[in-house]
Amino acid sequence: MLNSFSTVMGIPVAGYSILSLASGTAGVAASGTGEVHVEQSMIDPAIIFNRHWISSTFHSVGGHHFIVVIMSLIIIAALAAFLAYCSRDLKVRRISAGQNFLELIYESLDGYVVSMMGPAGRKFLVLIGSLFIYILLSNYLGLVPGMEAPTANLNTTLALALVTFFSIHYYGLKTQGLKYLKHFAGDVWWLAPLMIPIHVIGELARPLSLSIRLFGNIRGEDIAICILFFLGVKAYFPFFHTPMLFLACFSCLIQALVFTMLSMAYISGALPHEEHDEEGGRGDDDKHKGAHK
Amino acid sequence: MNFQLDLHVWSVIFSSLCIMFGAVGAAFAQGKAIVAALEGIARQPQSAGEIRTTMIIGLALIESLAIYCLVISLILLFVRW
Repeated sequence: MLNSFSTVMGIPVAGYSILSLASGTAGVAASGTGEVHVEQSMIDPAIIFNRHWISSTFHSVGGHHFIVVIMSLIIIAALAAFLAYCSRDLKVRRISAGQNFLELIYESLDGYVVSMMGPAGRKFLVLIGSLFIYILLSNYLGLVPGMEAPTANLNTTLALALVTFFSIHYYGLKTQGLKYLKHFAGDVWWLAPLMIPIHVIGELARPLSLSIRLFGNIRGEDIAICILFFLGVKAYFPFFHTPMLFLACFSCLIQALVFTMLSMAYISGALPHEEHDEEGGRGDDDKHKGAHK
Repeated sequence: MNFQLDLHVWSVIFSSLCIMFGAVGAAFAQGKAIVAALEGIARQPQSAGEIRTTMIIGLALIESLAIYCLVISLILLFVRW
């Protein structure tokens, strides 16, 4: 069943799989028990994620095919080419269509950052805007047939989250100095042995939650779309996944928004603020500060 | 019922249970959060923007727990046991 179906679909079975975990679970389970034999291997996403066209087109380097890297490079190249094309002649009056579009993007991102971090957060527009555009484009690339979203891989999302993590502490130390480290000890000195591990764990949980949220959302959507698509192929009605595509279009935007919004909330929590209330932990504090103008 | 099931079948069963509980809990929690946010917006429509951003951050934090369940169930499904 597994072999016949995959040869019908033209997809080889063995090889690359998600999460660098091994493949073929449901097929083995189907042949092992005999009860759940018929339909299980059909909706086995391991078939879909086993081999990408890149891995059968290009040679592997050390056993890796670097699909995610190639997809990231596609996005970077497309963005660079588009920006270079649009910003080739910048003018003040009678601007071109490309410059108009770039200004639209810039102004909307600027309004977004300023509404979250205040006018003082405008210098983070470069970081946040780059993160937003890159995450949004890589989420949308996963919906293009034949492509794979770079953010559907934990390596990419962890790299993005580490950028946020290090920028939090860099700007915290830069703007507040050693006073930033004093935040970790809490408010009263005799609770410091308790508060420092709690705060350290809380800080370390931020890149973890940021990366796993983005990865899980995008990968879960891709798997759901694949399963519905293969169900539709099996039922000779290849539109089962169409509502899921619309949902994915919405959810990709939401995930990019959420990533950048949480990054802004974390960064603005590390910056010094004027009205300093002593209530509550730092984890709750900075979220309110982030939403506060 | 034969309880000497294969490990693959147990992994399928428990991955579905895992995503079920994660989805149920996250759905209830997000429903409560959205209800509170909508009541706040209905009382004070001028503060809709701040409420919305805070609500989206909260929804993301709630949803991350469901996503953890999803990741765990995916690991249960795709690992060759």
